Amino acid sequence: MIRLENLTKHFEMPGKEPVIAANNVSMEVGKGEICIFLGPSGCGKTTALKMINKLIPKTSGKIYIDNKDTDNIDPIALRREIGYVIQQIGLFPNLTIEANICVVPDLLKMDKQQSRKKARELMEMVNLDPNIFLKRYPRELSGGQQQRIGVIRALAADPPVMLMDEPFGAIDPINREVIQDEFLKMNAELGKTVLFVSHDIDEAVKMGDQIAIFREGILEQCDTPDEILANPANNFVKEFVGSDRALKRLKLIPVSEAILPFRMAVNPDDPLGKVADKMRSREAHIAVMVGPRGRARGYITKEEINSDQSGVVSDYSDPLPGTIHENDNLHDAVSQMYSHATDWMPVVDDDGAYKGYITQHIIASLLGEAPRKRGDRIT
Amino acid sequence: MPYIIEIINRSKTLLMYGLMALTFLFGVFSESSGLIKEFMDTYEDWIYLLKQNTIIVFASGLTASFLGICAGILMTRTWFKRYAEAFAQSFNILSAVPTLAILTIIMTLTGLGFKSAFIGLVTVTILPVVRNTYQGISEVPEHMIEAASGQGMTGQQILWKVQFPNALYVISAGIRTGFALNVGTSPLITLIAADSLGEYIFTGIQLNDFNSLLIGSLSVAALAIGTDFILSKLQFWLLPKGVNPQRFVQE
Repeated sequence: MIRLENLTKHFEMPGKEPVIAANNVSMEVGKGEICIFLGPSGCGKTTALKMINKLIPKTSGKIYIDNKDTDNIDPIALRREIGYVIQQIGLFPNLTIEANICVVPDLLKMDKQQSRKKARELMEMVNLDPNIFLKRYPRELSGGQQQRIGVIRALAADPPVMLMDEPFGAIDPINREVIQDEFLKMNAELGKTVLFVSHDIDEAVKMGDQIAIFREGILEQCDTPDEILANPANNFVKEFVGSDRALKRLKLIPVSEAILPFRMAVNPDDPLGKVADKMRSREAHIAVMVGPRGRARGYITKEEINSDQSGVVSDYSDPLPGTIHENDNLHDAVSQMYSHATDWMPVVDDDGAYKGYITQHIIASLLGEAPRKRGDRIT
Repeated sequence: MPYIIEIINRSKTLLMYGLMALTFLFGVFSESSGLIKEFMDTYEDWIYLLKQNTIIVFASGLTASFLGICAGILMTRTWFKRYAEAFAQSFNILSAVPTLAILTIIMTLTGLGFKSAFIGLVTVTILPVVRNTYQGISEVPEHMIEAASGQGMTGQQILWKVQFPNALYVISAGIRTGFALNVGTSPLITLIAADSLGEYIFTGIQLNDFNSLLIGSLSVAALAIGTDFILSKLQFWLLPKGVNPQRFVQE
């Protein structure tokens, strides 16, 4: 969808060496993907972004959008086809929210009624009530609300590509999480190709299908978040992603991928002897007692069974240390395990039905593995 | 806190009483000194001069506002940037020249009467308008311009849809200042033989006629207050709500 070829930018400094803000950057972002440009400040990530919509003229190299060379497209026309979001939001205070959202549609002389209708739909997507907010002015909105408008303004003319320059950088952490989630949800529906500048590795890991790490104008590594966290290409990337990169990977892996292959579900009235055999064959330490409708009720450990094998499961079962949803990520799971001081946790689905369990041991061995493609299962 | 508010409220009432007393005393004074009689005697002159004065103030003020806005916009254009400083300096020098000197110089060029007076008042009024227009437009934040060009606005569209509307409040403040200067200067144009309320003032000075002087200066003061009142109302109602700080409080 977007292809950069040997993109280079030299800023001429009178009387000094030119500053190289982008040095032979080549990369490709597929349709509907979110690619994060990541790096410390002054690394050229914003310059690279702004060269795409020609706000900064490039020195050399090629930029293709949808296989069309952007050199042949008029900058004004090009920008109207690319959504643009900046950190400082930049809503126009003289216009109502409605007029702000419809700036590009109006520039393109699209049908007014249609664009106003679209504005309403977009407002609902970011959970702002159009009846309340459309006729207001930007200064009457909070920062988080303004940036939501900033984002949907970029979407109003339905551009296939969006450029976002640290869009959520100025928003408080709690609101940022919410906006990030909203944006991910929205883009899952809209399928825009997004280039997103950030200096926050956590944001990048959360938002990106692809992360491009820059240093001093050079593209150091461009890969999936998992790959970057698991196999940093060099010391710079390793340092940049942080020494806790293994922990960050936890956020990328859903609980469902770490569930042990055997459920070890037992009924309350199963005799302990049978359960002990089952555990021994699986080398499991824990069995989960499941009720008639498939819900986890309690658990029983190997040690308890070893001491006495004559009773039934329900006599010895202990209350569960909590449950975790299969769609949560391992980061949440580990956090829950630590807060309950346990090294395992049963997994449930939407209906609360027991799916299996995860242990700290399996999580540790997962992280130790080579990076996996998403969707891989442990069998 | 409520104590302070109480005092303010009370002082407001006190002020009202004070004003009423002053008005009453002024009436007594003007009757006894013959001010009212003189005013009645020259009533038709007064109407004529007030009309002429108002006409020249608004004619020159509006012309100056228009020219000033144009000049201010010109100064913000990129191709003009390198001359902008010199341009601004020449306006500053102009403002340093005493008004009377300006009027005299113009008189030597265009002769006596309305034309010279008009040009003189335009010169006085235009300075704050140019300055505020230039500043208002230059101070529109960089990120707003970036957002505008990033969305595909042309230079002209950025100027008229973003920069100018957002500078309007500062520009209108400049126009109000300009008009205040204009009204304040307008009595002087009597000296170059244009009709204005200055006639009362200068006649009063020359004939040592205190009443005439008073009629002239009070009328100019009233004209100044009236003009500013009208402009402030225009400013309040004409400026778009989103860029009008006077209307933010209402929300």
